[in-house]
Amino acid sequence: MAIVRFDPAALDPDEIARRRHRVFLLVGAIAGPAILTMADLHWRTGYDGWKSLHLVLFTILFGLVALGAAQTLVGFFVRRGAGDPCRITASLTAAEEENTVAARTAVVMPICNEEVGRVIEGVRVMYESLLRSGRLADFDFFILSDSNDPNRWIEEETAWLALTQRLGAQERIFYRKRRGGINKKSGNLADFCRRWGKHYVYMVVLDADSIMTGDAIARLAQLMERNRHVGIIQAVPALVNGETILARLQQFASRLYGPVSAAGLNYWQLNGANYWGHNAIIRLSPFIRHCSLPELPGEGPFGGRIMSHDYVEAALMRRAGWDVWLATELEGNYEECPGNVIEFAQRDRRWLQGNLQHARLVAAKGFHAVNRVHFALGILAYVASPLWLAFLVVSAVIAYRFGAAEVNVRAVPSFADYLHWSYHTQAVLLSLFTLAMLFLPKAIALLDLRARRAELAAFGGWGDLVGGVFLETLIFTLLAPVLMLFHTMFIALTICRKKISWGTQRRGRAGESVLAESVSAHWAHTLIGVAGAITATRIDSTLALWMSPILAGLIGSIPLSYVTGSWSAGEALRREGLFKTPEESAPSPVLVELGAALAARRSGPQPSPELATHYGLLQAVLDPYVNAVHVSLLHAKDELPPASEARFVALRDRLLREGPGALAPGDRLALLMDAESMNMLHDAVWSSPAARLAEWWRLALRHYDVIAPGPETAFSPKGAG
Amino acid sequence: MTTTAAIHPTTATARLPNGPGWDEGFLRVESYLRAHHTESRVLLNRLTSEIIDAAWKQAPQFPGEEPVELAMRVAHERIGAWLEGAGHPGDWSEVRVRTRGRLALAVTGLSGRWAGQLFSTHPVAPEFATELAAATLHPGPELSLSNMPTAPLEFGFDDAAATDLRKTGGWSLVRGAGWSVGLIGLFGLVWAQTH
Repeated sequence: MAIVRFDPAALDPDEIARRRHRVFLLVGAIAGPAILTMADLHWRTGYDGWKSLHLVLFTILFGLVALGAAQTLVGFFVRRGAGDPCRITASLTAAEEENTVAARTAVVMPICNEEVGRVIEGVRVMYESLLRSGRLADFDFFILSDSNDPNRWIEEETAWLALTQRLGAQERIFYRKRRGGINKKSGNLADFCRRWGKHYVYMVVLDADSIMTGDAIARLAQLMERNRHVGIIQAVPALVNGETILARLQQFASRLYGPVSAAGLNYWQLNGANYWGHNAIIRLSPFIRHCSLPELPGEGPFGGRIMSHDYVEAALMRRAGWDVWLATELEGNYEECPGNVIEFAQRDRRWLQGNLQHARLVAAKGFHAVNRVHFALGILAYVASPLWLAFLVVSAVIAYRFGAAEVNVRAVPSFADYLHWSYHTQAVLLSLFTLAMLFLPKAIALLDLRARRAELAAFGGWGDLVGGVFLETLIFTLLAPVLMLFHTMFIALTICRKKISWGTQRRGRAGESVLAESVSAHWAHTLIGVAGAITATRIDSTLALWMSPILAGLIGSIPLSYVTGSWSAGEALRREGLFKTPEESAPSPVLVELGAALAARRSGPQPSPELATHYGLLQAVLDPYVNAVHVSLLHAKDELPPASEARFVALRDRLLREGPGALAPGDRLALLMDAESMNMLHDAVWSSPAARLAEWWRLALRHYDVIAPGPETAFSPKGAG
Repeated sequence: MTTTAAIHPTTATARLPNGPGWDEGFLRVESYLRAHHTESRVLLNRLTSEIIDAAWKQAPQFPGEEPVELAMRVAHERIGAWLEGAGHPGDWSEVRVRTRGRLALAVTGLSGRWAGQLFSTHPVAPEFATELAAATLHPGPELSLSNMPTAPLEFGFDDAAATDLRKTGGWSLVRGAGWSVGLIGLFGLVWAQTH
């Protein structure tokens, strides 16, 4: 049988249009009857302003539900048999997949104050995986740092050099620290493109928590080589390495429902797919020429620097005539996810701010309609929360007015005349239909798995799988109102230009929930839940019953947030076989290697508490090798800081006499960025009598005494791999 | 020119300077050498004693300097001398040169393959000397600057839709509009007939 290879360049525009019309019609076919039924319910009791508003809100929200259901239905049908013929991964034959990549490719990992061990070990396992696959020759790795935490920065420098020494990869794995963090991640990548973009044909963009096998990276490059009109290919990563209930639940849900949904997404997006900012490959030449982000007119929150860059870059690439594809079936492609509700909400806050800003871009000239749809859906993903809240409030008001005014069902022509439904039956059926559409993706994903025996076994079999789906549904149902309130608050704060902070982002073991943090983040949700329960019960006990899943989630938000962010609870569920994924059952070698390396790192020594806060500065000043590497990397910069020498003399003097705690964070960073100061401080601390030094430096020097255990750096004999 | 022999302990020092200042100097030099990953206690002690002895002898020439300052200056000279003997020449009184020397040691990977070579009394291995001389950092490839012009942005609908339309001959749009009108019309008709 001849192998049919898909040629995206020959994709018929009519086929694209047909597919989009079909999905649109399916959404209409699902949403239309529900909206008409709701309209009819209000018609039977008489319209007023509240009911009109209620219908508008229902229409928007049900439209989103219908889109999800339609996409899953389509995904299910196209995955049957040989799968969708129009997918980018089908553009390579098996023989072509074995070819080496003949184009220079940079694998770039932009980082900003991430856990250094995770970053370095992630790069190591991907590098070694490419090496083992025999395709390393055309790949270089770049760690692109925007870290402004001195501890992270210094650790990155030493860990990078130690890694290159360990792998013999001095001219294969590079490290660049930007002096300023202008334009955050997009600025970081743009800086790479400006400096070294000409050296490479492609750029594989990773996040700090991304992991890809060498085969997956090479395959992305091969797909680009095969399809010269494609500007970006976005891979769909599987979530991995979760330990808490929430993290394992996300990876379970994403692994189970994701493939069907992604197939549905690809069905209508085709060459107008989106870019998600990581686990993607980009053709550098058009990216450099066409995708440098402009500033939006006006000031924040809707103007100024574009915060969420990926959607916009995909739209700019499309505007320039290049295709963007979603690679739905690329194995060996992973990322991690937040471990607790607060981390999850924090991440949503960043995404939400960026997506809201895209409201301006929906009406920007030159973008393709599909990119405008991406912008709109990105906005709706978060605006849906306040709309849902408004829908609940309006529902309660209507219920209250209904009860108080003793409104009767009018004897008007309606669906009831034909279907012989009572008002109550019609309302219940509409609710059941809504629930059915909400749960349809889950049912379809299970149905899809029926034909995939090996995958089903990797999920732990039907028992564990159904148990997992049940528990996942329960937990997400309870968490949904909490996230609804978070999103609503974030939107309000964004519009009012207010900031909110719960401290720094934490991953891994450090990402476990903390009770005090849970109380601080959720006490207001609990109060709203209690107030809502009292109000709903007073209005109508049936209303309270209908709203009980929402109210229960809010009232129990503190324990729910705390328990779902716990490692021990996650471990207990793992022992029970719940939320098992194929990646957990049979982890890829890169994941096994990464896990082992991180476990070994976690058991390493930690700096003493007195020195830990400024440990990076300590090493950069005191350690002869760390200082030399740091200063050399500063020298490699192409510009010098503008601060005057007099300022640096005063700062150095203060640092020596009063210790790092006496300096503002910005001043400490300024010193760390000045090569001359770092050279002089190294000499000055070692050569000064103790009496001239701050107590902190005396303590730091004692760590180098022959009787003390030596400070741990990547260069120390114990620390070196 | 100072040779590697300059840092090698040659005799056991019979008479060492004493006093709190010299004790501090001794401890500081010993700590500094250890910070370079000199793990042998015997070597550390002998090197430090030699450096302190030399610093003490230089003290009359630098009356304003504390023992720690004197001792560390000699320590830098001795380290520089050893590096020079190992094939990494330079003016070791220059702070930047000293930094480059330390960088060469760090890049060469003293903690791994060449552990035990630093300040060793034996001649350094020729491979180590070669690596030391060539040691440099590679934080990135050669710069090859690109101009990345900002993508222009105008507001208002237009065009790409029109381009799509040209590609599809307009027929798909008409068909899509027809389906949409048909679907909405169908629902409208149902509503009109029942209400």
